[in-house]
Order: sequence, then C-alpha cells, then structure tokens
Amino acid sequence: MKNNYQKNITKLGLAFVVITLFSCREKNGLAPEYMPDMYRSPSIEAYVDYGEVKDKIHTEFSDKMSARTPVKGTIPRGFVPYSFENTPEGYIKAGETLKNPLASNENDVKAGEELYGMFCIQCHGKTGQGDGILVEREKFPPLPVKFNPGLDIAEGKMFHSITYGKGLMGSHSSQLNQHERWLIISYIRTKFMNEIKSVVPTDSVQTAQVATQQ
Amino acid sequence: MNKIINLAKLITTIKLSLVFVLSVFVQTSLFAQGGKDLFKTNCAACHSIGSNKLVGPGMEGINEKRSREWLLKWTKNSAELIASGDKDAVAIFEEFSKIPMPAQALSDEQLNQIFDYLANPNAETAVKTETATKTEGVSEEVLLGEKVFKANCAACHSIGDNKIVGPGLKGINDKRKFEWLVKWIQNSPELIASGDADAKAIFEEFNKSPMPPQPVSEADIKAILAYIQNPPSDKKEAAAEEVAVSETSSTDSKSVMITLGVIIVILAGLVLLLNKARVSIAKAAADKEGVAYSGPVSFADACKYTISKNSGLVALVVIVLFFGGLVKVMNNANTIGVHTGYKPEQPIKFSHKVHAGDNKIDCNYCHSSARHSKISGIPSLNVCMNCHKYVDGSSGKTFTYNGQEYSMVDEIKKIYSALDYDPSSQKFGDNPQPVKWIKVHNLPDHVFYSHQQHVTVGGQKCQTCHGPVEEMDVVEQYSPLTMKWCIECHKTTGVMKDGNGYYEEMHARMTDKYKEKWLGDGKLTVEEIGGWECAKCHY
Repeated sequence: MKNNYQKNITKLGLAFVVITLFSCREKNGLAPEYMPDMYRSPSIEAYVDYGEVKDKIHTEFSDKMSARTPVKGTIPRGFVPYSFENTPEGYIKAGETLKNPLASNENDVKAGEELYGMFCIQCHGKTGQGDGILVEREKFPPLPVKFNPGLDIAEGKMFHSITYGKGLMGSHSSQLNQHERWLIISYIRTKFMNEIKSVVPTDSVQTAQVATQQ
Repeated sequence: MNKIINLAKLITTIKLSLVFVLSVFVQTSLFAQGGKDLFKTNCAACHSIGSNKLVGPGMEGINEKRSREWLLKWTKNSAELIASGDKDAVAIFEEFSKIPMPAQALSDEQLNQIFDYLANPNAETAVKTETATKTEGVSEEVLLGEKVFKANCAACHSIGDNKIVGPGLKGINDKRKFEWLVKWIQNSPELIASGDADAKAIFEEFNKSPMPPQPVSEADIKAILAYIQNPPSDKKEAAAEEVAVSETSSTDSKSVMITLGVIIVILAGLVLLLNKARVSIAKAAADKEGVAYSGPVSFADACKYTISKNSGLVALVVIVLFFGGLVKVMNNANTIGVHTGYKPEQPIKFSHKVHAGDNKIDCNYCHSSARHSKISGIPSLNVCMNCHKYVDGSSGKTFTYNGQEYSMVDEIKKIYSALDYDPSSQKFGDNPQPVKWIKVHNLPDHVFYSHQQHVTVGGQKCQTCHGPVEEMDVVEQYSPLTMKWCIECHKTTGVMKDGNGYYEEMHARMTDKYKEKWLGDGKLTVEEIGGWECAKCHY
C-alpha cells in the first residue's frame, strides 16, 4: 500500500519536471503554439509561404506565395494609366502638356509637406537644396537640382521624373500614387520655388485629364 | 635638347611672372572673391560667366554691354524696368520668351562686387591653378577638380569605368581632345546638333537622353580632368578596422552548463562518499555495542529509509513542488503563442539600425502601403534599387547584424542576384527570384487589424507598437500582440479629434452625448467610440 503511494508521487514529480522542461522557447524567441492552425490559417495571408510552415515543407502548398505580381494589364480601381513614355521626348511632352490638377491650397501643401518628409527629404533636404542626410553622409553625391525660385522646370516634368525616375533618382510610382505625387509637387513649388498658384482655371484641369487619358 | 630645356625655362619664368602680376592684381581687388561667392549662390543657377545661355544669358562682357547703373536697376527689379519701357530691357524680355528674371534681394554693394567679379572672372581661378602647380605640384589642382567633380558630375558619372547614368570617365583624357570635352560639357546638345560623329554616337548609346549643359569654366574642366586622371587613392579605413567578433551569448551559456555539470558530478561523488562514511561509522558503532549492523547500506536504501521515517516532511515537499510547478505551468501557458522577442535572421541581413537609425530614412519610404492598406507591406526590391542602384557597397564598409560583422557588398549583391541585375551593364535579366523574407509579426486569423486605420486615421507612430526599430539591427517582436495589450491601449488612447474633418460632426455629437457618462476626464478614448466592441476586431 505504502509502496503504491510512493510510486504515484514519483510519477507526479516526474510529470512536473517534464512539463516545466517543455516550456523552453526556440532559439530565436519563437514561443510554442497551441493549435497552430489558429495562427497559421489556411486562408491566404500576407507574406506567408504556405509551403513552409514552421520547418515543415508541404510541396503541395508551396505555390501559394501571397505577394505576387498581378496579371499583366491589371490596374487598381480608379487608376488612370500614365500615358507618357519613359523617353526624353516623353519628358518634354509631359512638361508641355501635363498640369497639376490640384489647387495647391493650404491643405494640399500641408499634406505635401508630410509626404515630402517621408519620401524626398533624405536626398533633397529640408530646404530643397539637395543637401539631405544621405548627401551629408556622402552616400549620394550632391544633387544637381536645387529647388529655388526661378528654377526652370515645368510641373509636368517633375511629375514625369517622380513617376519614372531621372538620373540617379529611381522611380517612386510604386510608393506614391498620382494624387500624392501632385501633392508633393504642390509643396515644392509653393514653399521652395515661391510659386503661388491662384485658383486653377478649369480648362487646365481638363487638359491634364485629357493628357492622362491619351 | 638644350633648346627645349631653354624653352621650358622660358615658359616657367613667364608663368611665374604672370602669377606675380595676377596675384598683385588679385590682392588689390580682393573683394572680387566675395563677388564670386555671391554669384555662385545667387546667379549661377541661371547665368554662366561665359557667353553661353543657361536659363538666362551668359555674363561674358556684360560690363562693356550695359552701364553699371542699368545693371543695378535690372537686377533689383527687372519687371519695373521693363514696365518703364526701357528698350534694352524689353528686348531681353522678348528674347527669353517673356520669362522674367526674378528680383534679387541684394544691396548695391553686393551687386557691385558681383559685377566686378564678372569683369574679370578667371583671374582668381587662374591664380589658384598656377600657384597650385608652383607650390604643391598637381595635388591642389586635383583637389579643386575633386570638389568640382563631386558637385557637378558625380550624380551621373563615376571616375571608374562603370556606368551610373552617364558613362564612366576612366581614361577620358586619352579618348577625347580637350577642346571637344569643353564643348561637350558646356553645351552637349549644340555639339550634337553640329553633327559631330562622336557626340552623336554617345547620344544614341545613352538612349538619346542628353547631358545637360554644365556651368563650369575651362579652368574647372582642366581641374576635373586632372582629378579623373590622378584620383587620390581611396581611403580604405574600413579595411583596417579589424573588428574582433565577440564571443556570442550561446558560447557563454554553454560554459555555464559545463560548470553546472561538473558541480553536479562532484556533489554526487561527495554524497556517495558520505554515505560510505556513514555506513562504516554505523557499522563500527554497532560492532562496539556487539550488535550486527542492520540499517540500509546502499545509497538508494538509505533514501527509502529516510522517506519512510519522515513521511510528514516528504508530504510537505511534494505539496510545495506541486503548487510551485502549477504556477510555473500557468506562467508558461500564458506565453503560448505570444512571440515577444521573436527575432529571426532574415535571408538578406538588412539592418534597420543602419537604414532607419543612422540614415534616418522614414519608415514610410519603404513600408509605403502602411498608409493605405491593412498590411504594412514589405518593400519590393525596386524600392531597394532606388538607392542601391548607386550605393553598391564598394566602399568596403561592414555593419553589425545579430552580433556579427557582414560586408555591405555581399548583402547588396544578394539584391542584385534576386533581381537578376547586372551592375556593370545596368541591365535586368529575365529570371528574377523572390527574396524569402521571414514574417516577424503575425496575428491569428481570427483578428482583424488594419495599419491604415492606426497610422493614417489614428496618427499613431510605428514605434508605439513596433518599439525602437531604428535601434534594432535584427527586427524583433517588441509588443506581445495579445488581446489584453490591444484592449489596454484602446482604453487609454485618446481619439485624434483635431484636424479630422471626416468625423468632425460625429466626434462633436459623441462628446456631447456622453459628457456625463464617460467623459468625466474630458477625453474621448478609443474605447468610448466603440474600440471595445467585439465585432470591431473579431468578425
């Protein structure tokens, strides 16, 4: 009788030791998961390759990489394709025909400033003189463009440059939609180039639309 | 032979005397230097000091062409002068397709300095280069060339033979004549239009994108060419920095384990020895009394004997162990599925500390979809290439990632190979492969979370949830991402009411309606506008 009691106690003790040992984390800090299918769902989620869940490789799922290139010719809803080609002629043509559809009012400039701070300031700098931190730290050479009053560059050309890139600058069309590109241009032209745009005549908005639909 | 030496001597004496005359001239008109700086900062964006047009006309011989009085008037307010009907002013205005020159906010004194400088713009640079050759040989000229090159050319050209935007300039001195280069640099479209065969060939090779005319003087070009031919040797400090890789924490924990094992073995040996001693003492004591020893002999028997004699103590130990274990199990159960501190090494050793911390690149630059989408996207490689097309790590620098040193070149090469990109020809191949980044933050399938809602509408900083990412080289999960954590934040965080035009009416109504009930503290929190509703996140 006593022996049985002792045996049970030893078993219980052993069970505790085992359980406490089990609670160790994986090397990189990944915790254990109870019912992992609640975390790794069978529906497609962003940036998960279902062929490889926690070291297990399921070849039958491995084609389900979620970040994929859309089918050729796909466009987002409401998107107007940009019609000018990435050539010097396209650049000149964009400068001649493309006009900023925004009124460049206070709100536009404010929103543009925020976007400029996210996407441009690293190189073009706080004052638009091309002395951003990447230039300062000599990661990039000084920029040839300084946003000053009197800088002879049409807004259509600026739009073209943000869309396709120019010189060392890469294309920012994947990071900024067309509206945001115009916001940034509004900010640069108002603050750095001292250009005050009064209410836009409606026909220039129309020309911009016609130009983008061509 | 002698003749040649004599000629060389003659030339140097002429040069030296020229230097002397010029330096005397410069000393007497020192203020011209101020004029140069003023010109560079205020005028050079539109005017050259030569005869070529940039945005406005070239300034060569401007002092002979117009009176000083007229020039001052024009510069200070050209529009007024045009309006006054001045013939010259109107003519210029017409010539430059009615683009007015912006009025310059400069004093008469400053303008006089500028025009004095324009009267003799080359004096200073000539002296500089001459004295340079006199005192320190070539190096001074090379330094000037380096400065001019970096400011004007480096954005498109390298001094090696790799293309950036334009061709690499290594060996350009042997390839082209100096006169040709001056023409090309100062106005390449004109040279192309003139039908020059070389110029046309380059124009065609670089997809007909012209090189913009550069506002540099002939002396500057000379300096640049000297610099390209004789670039100062690269500073490779990084190579000298031999960083001893510190012993990582894993080896530390290993040595701890070994010492622990040794201690356990020693203790076990001691216990067995003591048991032996105990038995022999007990036997000796029994012998003395003339009785045979009947107690436990082996260590296991001794343990059993002690347990059976002290059942109360054993029960106490068992109870303590049981509840202690229970607490431990509960604590561990709370961490199931909570991956705080999850820190996987990524396939490309991308250091957020270098990019977001040292270089201060905004989070949104790469994770641009956080503002628009449920998911804060991992940037596609074209975003990397916006910078790394140029920054290729050839400086030989290294960086720390997870306690180890990596070279920039190798990691950036991984981007190139994933894109099937050839940096020397700048061409993309047709066999790109995705980079298998490892997802760090993962919410269970039954929770809805939108970045757009928190970043754009709520105005939350990335660091609120993700922690100081700009200080991490390997990104790790900073917050627990548990429901308790969400709820607590929703309870305390106030709603951004100001400047939120879309919900202005609703916020006003809510503030009014719940004044008594919830708004004792005068703050409209996320909870109060429904941030605790189950179906907000679970549906």
